[in-house]
Amino acid sequence: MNLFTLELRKHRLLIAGLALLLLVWGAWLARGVTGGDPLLTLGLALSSLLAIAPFGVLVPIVLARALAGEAAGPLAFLLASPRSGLAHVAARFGVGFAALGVYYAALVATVHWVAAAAGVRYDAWLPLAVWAYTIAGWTAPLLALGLVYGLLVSAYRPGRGGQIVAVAASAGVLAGWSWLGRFALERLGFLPQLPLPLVVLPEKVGRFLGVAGGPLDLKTALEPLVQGVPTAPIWVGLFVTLALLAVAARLWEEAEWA
Amino acid sequence: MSYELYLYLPIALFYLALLALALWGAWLGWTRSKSPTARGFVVAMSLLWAGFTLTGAAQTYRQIQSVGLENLMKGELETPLTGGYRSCVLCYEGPAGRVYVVAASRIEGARYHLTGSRPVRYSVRFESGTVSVDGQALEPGCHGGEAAPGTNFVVRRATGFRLEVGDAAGCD
Repeated sequence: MNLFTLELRKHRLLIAGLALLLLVWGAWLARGVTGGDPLLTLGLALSSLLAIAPFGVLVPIVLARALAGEAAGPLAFLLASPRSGLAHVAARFGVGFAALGVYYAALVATVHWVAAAAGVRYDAWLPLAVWAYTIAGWTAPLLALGLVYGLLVSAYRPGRGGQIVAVAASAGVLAGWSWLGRFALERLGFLPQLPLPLVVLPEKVGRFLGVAGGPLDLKTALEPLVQGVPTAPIWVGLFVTLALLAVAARLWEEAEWA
Repeated sequence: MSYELYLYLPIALFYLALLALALWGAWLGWTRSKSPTARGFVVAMSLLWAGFTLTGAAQTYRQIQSVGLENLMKGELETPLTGGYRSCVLCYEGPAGRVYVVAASRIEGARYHLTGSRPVRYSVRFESGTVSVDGQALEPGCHGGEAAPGTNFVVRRATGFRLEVGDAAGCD
């Protein structure tokens, strides 16, 4: 059995939990689309998305936590076999990335389906771009950071002071994250930009908002305000992920598993 | 000493306490670790964090020196444009990159004029409606050029409106 399958089996409870969450959410929305008002269901889908999307953060937390548990357990010697830290890190990151990639793809696809049923029109590439933005700009760096954090506790051995490091690291990560975001948006403007997507809401929404005259064209409305969507966060996210994975692979080989 | 100190002192103390805790944790780890990568990572991250903190503190200090503690977080922006509108849908007014912008998907009854003492570059773009610069009506589309101080921009009604002022303003 390879490392990837082993990891997959180890975290099957988490993966099944996320799948169940998706299933219940999807069934609830499907009932709204087929038996109720699709437009109202779209509103519910978008607002409940805000509540259900952050659950993805469970994956890096559980992965980092599992690392600590295994290092303290009786099978700790398995963490040094094979010797290559890269293989271990790739397996763990791969499982987390696959789980979160499928999770967010399912979220985006469900909203895509409800929006189509509600009569919202938009560019075909928009769902894919939203998924790529989520995965590369937010999920992958957070996963890699979770791995580095879990490994740092094993390699740096702060003992009970680990909780102190956790508080300091969390504050530092928030500061670093906001700095990176500002850096990406203000200094990396020369990187290619995505055009504003075409989004046309049905006439009913326009009437509800008090805007008369046919379907509501969000692109035309937003064009004077925003020229394009920067892709810089995606490139910065990929760079940060690779850098953190390189650190994680070396930490794995230097950590004292016992 | 002014009353703002009561606000800033607890915040500063909180960050100092956090820093002290972090240093303690870092010391505990350093004495037990044998991993050069872990040590290097912790040192690099600490330096990064210290860099942010020191840069921010220096910036705040410079600001306090220049405007005084009483006027910190107060004041008015020197904008190249002043004026206002009667009604507006999806609007933004303020700096955007290297230009100052008044943008709206729909705007009515707006009147702006250039402040400052030197001619500046500007561009006006709109899709439909009635817009005039110093009394001269414009066709829908994009118009750019240089305008003298005090130039008036009057919008009776416009959609897709964007007025840029600054060296980088233009119809590209």
